[in-house]
Amino acid sequence: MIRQVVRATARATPGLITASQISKCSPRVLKVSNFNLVKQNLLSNTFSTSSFRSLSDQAKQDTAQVEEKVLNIIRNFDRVKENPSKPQVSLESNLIKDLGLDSLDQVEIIVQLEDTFGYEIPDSDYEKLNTPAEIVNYIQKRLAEV
Amino acid sequence: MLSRTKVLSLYKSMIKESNKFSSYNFREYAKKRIKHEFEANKQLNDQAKQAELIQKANANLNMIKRQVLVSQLYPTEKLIIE
Repeated sequence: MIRQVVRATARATPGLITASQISKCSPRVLKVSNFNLVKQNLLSNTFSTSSFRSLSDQAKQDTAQVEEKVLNIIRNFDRVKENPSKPQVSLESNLIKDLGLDSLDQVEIIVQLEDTFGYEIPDSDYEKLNTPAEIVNYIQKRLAEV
Repeated sequence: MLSRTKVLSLYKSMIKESNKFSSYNFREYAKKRIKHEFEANKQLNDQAKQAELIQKANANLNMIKRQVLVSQLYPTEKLIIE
């Protein structure tokens, strides 16, 4: 009777081993196939056509976008919004003379600009930034440098 | 006489630091308080007083930095107005 049991287990073990092997192997196989998928995605992204846009087009678009962003920041600034005389904000309006802001407000606008465009504006450049047009020029120059 | 840019850069670093508060109440209070103090002393010409206030502002800047760290360690839920 003992022999029978031994024989039975001997017969059973090959099947057991293969089952456990499969369960061990399958995750690795899955990972490999995932990796291939990721690789393919990366490749197709790098060669997508969107990166081939002419440079002049992009520059024009950027200027318009920067202008809009700068004007929006200034128009939405509390002091400008709540000014009783409701000054019209144009690219040429002087922040201090035309919009009735002081140097502290100017600094606050600069902080907002830094947050929007993502780089530091050094202290020494504050005096150069008196109108939205000057700000736009300045930002474009800085963006071109990077 | 204290240079204009120095005061403005102090103001800027205080505002920037306050923007890092994760809690809306702290953030807005700090900014309003800083703005109010700077506006109140805009026409100050007494040099000794100026130096004293600058020192106070620097001390407060360090305090804000510490408090920002603390507020980031214990995040609160966002308010409905955010």
